[in-house]
Amino acid sequence: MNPNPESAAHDRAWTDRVAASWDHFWFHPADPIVLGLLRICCGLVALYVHLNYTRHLQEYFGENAWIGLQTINVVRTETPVLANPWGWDEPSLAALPDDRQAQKQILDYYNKYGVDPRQTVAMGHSAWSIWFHLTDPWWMEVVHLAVLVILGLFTLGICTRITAALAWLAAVSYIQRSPAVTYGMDTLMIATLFYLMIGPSGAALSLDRLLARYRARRRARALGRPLLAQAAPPLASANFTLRLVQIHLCIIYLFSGLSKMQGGMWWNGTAAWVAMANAEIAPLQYRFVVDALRYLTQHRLLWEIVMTGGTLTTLVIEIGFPFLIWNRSMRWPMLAGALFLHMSIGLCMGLLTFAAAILTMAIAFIPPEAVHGTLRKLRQSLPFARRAADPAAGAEKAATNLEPQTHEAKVAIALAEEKHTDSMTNGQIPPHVPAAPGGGRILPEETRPRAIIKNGNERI
Amino acid sequence: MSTDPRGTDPIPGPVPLSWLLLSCAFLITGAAWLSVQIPYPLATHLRVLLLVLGLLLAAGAVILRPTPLLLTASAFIPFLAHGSMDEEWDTARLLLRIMLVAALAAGLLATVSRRLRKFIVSMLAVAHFLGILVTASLSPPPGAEAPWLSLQLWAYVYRPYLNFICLDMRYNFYAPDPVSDTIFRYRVEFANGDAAWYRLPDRAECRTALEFSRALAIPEFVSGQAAAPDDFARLTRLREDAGENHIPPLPMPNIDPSAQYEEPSPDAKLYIESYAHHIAVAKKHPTDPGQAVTGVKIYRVGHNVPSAKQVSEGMDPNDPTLYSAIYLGEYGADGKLKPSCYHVEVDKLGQIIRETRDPFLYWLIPIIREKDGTVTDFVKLHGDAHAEAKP
Repeated sequence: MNPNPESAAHDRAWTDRVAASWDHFWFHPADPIVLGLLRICCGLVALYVHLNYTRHLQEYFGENAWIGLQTINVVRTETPVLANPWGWDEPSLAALPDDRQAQKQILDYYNKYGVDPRQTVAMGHSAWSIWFHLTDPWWMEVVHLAVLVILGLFTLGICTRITAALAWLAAVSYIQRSPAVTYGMDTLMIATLFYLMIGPSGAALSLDRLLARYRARRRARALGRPLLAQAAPPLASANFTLRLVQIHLCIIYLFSGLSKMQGGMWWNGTAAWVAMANAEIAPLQYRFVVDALRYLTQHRLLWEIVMTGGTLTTLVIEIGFPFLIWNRSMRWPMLAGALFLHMSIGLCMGLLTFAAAILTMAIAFIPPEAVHGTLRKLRQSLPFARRAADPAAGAEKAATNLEPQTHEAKVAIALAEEKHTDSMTNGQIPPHVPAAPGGGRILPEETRPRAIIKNGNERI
Repeated sequence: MSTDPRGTDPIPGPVPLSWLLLSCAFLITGAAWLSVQIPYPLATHLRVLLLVLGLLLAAGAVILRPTPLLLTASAFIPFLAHGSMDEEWDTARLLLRIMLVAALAAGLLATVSRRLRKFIVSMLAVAHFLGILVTASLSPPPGAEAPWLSLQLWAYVYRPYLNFICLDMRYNFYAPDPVSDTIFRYRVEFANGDAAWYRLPDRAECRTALEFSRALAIPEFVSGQAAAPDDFARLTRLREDAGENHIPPLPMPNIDPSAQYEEPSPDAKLYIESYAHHIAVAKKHPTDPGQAVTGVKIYRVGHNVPSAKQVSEGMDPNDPTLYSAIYLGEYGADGKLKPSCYHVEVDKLGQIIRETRDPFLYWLIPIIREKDGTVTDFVKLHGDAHAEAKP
């Protein structure tokens, strides 16, 4: 117990501040529109990736695939998992048991993997894949088609809670069955799908949301009540999910950048050359690309500037991203840098799907206002959307549809609602919140958000 | 049917619907469980269909109304489904066990206070990212070891979790240094003596860049190398002698022999056998599809990147001499190394008493430019020749 009351109060204040910051970082309600955009982009990437599997189902996942079923079953159940000894001494080879059968088993395993099976921590790895069990070509095609449908539904945001989980389970299924054909892009896609499964990825920009709005309108009409706010309410779970994606992306960039610092070519600025002159990945089948490379090499200073510039840009973006992206003023430059880097890699090395997957993760850093602004501009540029937004046609709607206009207002409402409902349950509006004149809702005085009143938002 | 508290809501509420769905899920999964005893093959299809339907209904019920009681009750569905699955469906059973635990944990989480729930969720997030960091730290700099703590945490704590969710990647893209890519060249021999050469990846066969990237990943996946064997000096002599006796002579390049020998690691050998079997099944004779495949010779080929100086002097990045091939052996249609390529005799305890091997096995086969400027592709010459195994 701290004998000094002032010090104790100070300590408490410090811990309270940390707790409040933590709580704000993870659980402050966020506009789910960013998550919705993330879902659409990730869904499109996943759909494209899985469409690409269609021609190669047997080649990658069949009984006689590149990694055949028999081989993958051996690998997933037998591969040795090793760890360091708990003490300082290396483990010595134990004497063989007297039993001949046991001796043979140990020696067989040793000859196969070069490891005494008694020194392993475990054998094999935990995995799920429908392709471990389904090998009939016709049924494989049926299931693959079902997966494509699921990914389509997920992208559109139909039954998103279920389709998100199914999309992740399906994607994992493909990756676990055929590790030989997977690369970095698959990990990025699977990470995003995993987080989208956790969060309310269908809370905005989804057909689920449209359906909910339609049902709410019908319900309000049936009850003769005014229509409540139609925009997706900010959700703590949306913020939590976005944070997961953001932190994961930062870890990816950080380790990608730091691991490059271990290599000589990244230090001397020649790493970019290996990517650009690698005939297997660079588009060197085109004569003009080869000519451009040759021109560069014939001008040493230019070559050094381009290569060192490319190498340094990669390092600066990858190592700087996890630190600078949290700074509001640096957010857009870092996002633009990531876009430039990955589009360059995509074009130079034929890794456009990888670029799409990692840039999809970067969407988590886009402010919701920017998404709203872009969508508003898009609506204005589309003729049918302009008609829908026609003031005369929308006059009646406006009279009964009152919704907060700013993100702060939405957050304030969500915070107020947290006293009545769990924001993890999609922000249902409590029945006792009275309706405002003209159809909006009036929050009880004690929960009315001060920030909104200060901003003079009369509509709230 | 529930009504609005004020008695004015004519629309059915979600409470009974969620329980109704869960009850249906229970009945359907129960039916699947009972159908285990039915011996007809069609019953298996029906059982799988019932299980999928039951699980989907349970998921729908949970999403509709995630109350603590309903979440806990929903754990019965994966439990029943687990009992309905054959033991061979081990990975699906694992998935169901995880679903069961998740349902129980979610039920428990829903009962605790909001504050405690936030704390638990925060701790789970911290533990998750600690695992991601641990995995990422497992790639040490060249010549160093991975952190002891990371290895222990990985082996004992995080491995099952991160393996299962496929987030066990190191994120060391093109690090520490970017390296040249690896491709395969392989020669397929058919029963009538005809042979055909293939390349993996083949741009002509890939419709999209993604397909090409996936094909390129296949040879890369088996690039793991074993340590040099104890009798390396003997293998070097064998290789030299065989090169001199080869028709035409197949010389060793003038570089350190240890840099010319790349024996795959044990797991890579396992995968290469599988590759060979796949090739034997998938590749058909170009004109007579009835001809069976009798042998597959595989070469792992590194496509080296030319230096800037070489390109400035006129070298094409696609120049054939930039390829360096390692002979991975000749395999039968069953995917096993042919006895003429590698064969061991073992005693009752499995210890090797006699080994027969192709002297070129796992050795570099060069492609060189002659003084007159012509290119000699020894890979092609070696593949089309009949190597003799030597004890």
